[in-house]
Amino acid sequence: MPIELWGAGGFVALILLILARVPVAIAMASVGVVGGILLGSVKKTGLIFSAAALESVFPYTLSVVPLFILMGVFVTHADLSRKLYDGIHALLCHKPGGLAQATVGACALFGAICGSSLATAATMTRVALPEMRARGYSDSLATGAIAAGGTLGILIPPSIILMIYGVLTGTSIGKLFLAGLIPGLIGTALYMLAVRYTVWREPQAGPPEPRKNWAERGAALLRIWDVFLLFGLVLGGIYGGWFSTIEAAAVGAFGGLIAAIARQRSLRFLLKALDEAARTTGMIFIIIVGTAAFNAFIERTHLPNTIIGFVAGTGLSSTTALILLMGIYLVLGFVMDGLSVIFVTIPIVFPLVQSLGINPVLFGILVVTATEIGLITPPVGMNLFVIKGIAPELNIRTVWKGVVPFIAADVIRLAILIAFPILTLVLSEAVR
Amino acid sequence: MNINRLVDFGTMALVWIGGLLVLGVMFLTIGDIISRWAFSKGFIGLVDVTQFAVVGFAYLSLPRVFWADANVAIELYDERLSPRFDAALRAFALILGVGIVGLLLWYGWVQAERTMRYGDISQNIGIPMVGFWGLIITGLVMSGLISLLRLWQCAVTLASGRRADAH
Repeated sequence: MPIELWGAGGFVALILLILARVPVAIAMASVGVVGGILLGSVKKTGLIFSAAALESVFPYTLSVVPLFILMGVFVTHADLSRKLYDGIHALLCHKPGGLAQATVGACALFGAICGSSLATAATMTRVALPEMRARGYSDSLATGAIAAGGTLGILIPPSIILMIYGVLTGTSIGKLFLAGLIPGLIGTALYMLAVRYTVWREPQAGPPEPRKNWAERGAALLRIWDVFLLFGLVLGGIYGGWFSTIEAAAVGAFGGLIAAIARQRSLRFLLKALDEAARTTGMIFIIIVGTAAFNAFIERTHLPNTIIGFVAGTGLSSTTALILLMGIYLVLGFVMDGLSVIFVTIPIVFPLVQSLGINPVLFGILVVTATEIGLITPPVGMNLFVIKGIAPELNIRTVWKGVVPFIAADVIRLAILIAFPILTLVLSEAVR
Repeated sequence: MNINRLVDFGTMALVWIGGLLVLGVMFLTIGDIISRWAFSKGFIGLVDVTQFAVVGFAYLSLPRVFWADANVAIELYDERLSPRFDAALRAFALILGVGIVGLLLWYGWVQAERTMRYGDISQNIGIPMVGFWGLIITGLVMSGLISLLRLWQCAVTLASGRRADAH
């Protein structure tokens, strides 16, 4: 049997194991180990695998992951979401659907500093859903805005999933962060348009409120100075050349800790915060170890080179290949979460991307955009289930109905980003 | 103290140790930035300490991940499964997990012995590499034991047809 077929078989086995609910890390490691044994020796595979236990978590660049996770957890405990929501609400409440737009805006900012889509959706469900319901908003618009808004933080820096992509592919994390900014803002604007569209179709879904005067708006915005300070310190620090990405992560975590202590007025939250950070960090690092084992196996099968040769033989242009790849990522995003999709596919797809001359920064942003759509599409749609979990009285079909305009907005955004790569690359290419 | 509470406490204790390591690195990094700004001189060996802390936090968190079922898995059809079939799938995943953790542990031990024999140290301030392996092995031993406990709970469900209480 050709050695490449072993690789293809391994990939199929991996997908089957994941569908059989084997954790992604274990599934990748199992395929890597069993495949390695079938291709070589038990001892050699064992030694490669155990070396991966240290070497794959050893790189200094990986230190950003736990530190940014800590920042996100501390910020959540600092209750910044409420202040953000109130601030943006004061600006937009007089518009039809203004409260839902405020939710999208608050989600974008909170998601950016928190770094977790699920935590953003959970936090904003608690903050925004009761407010919108109390003001007569329809459940479908309210939950759609929260679910979709929760995904925005994935692209707006600092983003954990972009960090992982950067580490896996050797792409500059600083450039990825910069590149995510404009697509994230386009996403925010399109989601706000999706709210306007929903309210245009169904005016009673988001009734406007009385306009707040400028003094009230100014006061509400002044109350979120700490969010802007933290955001500005982390990003300004990286791009102003004051400190490295890792140092920015430490500064962000420190700022988040101070904000949380100021809000909680004790250190008791620290244990819960560390527990939350540990679960996410441990989960990510064990997948990194599993990916290393899977990578080693796939490389030995020469599968990526065979795929590259095949695609080159078809004469596909890089744009057509990119569109096809995004189609595959959209489908994968329907059944797997974004992080898993990236870990599972990058070892096979990234060499092809390089061979086609596609910019790795552009590809990273497109992949994350495509997979994040999966967060709001059934049947997996993790954000939808987070909202349903916090507000169990909601009918899941109401939530599904609410996200449809936002899914359309996401697809439009993906098309814009493929058609105009400059939008993604303009900031990252300005930095050398 | 019943076994669940004991494991809960044990996994949290490891999280606290790992958390202290990473919080320590956070403070050291802030100190390094201030020192560079004020005295034009940074801390020596911060990279080594950071790597040690990150390896520590990652692996000491691992038992918590296994205990809290925080591993990323795709759960498309949970509610439609009978408790027995659900337990069988869980048991399958756990058996693979025990195998993988066991393999890592076995060969990790070999690597740890080797680094101790050769006296390997980190690049800048000479932290013994066996210390890194100590953190890895501690996390793996606890994760393996937790996976075995989970497997036993699955076996109870498979035998009785009722879902075993996880916590």
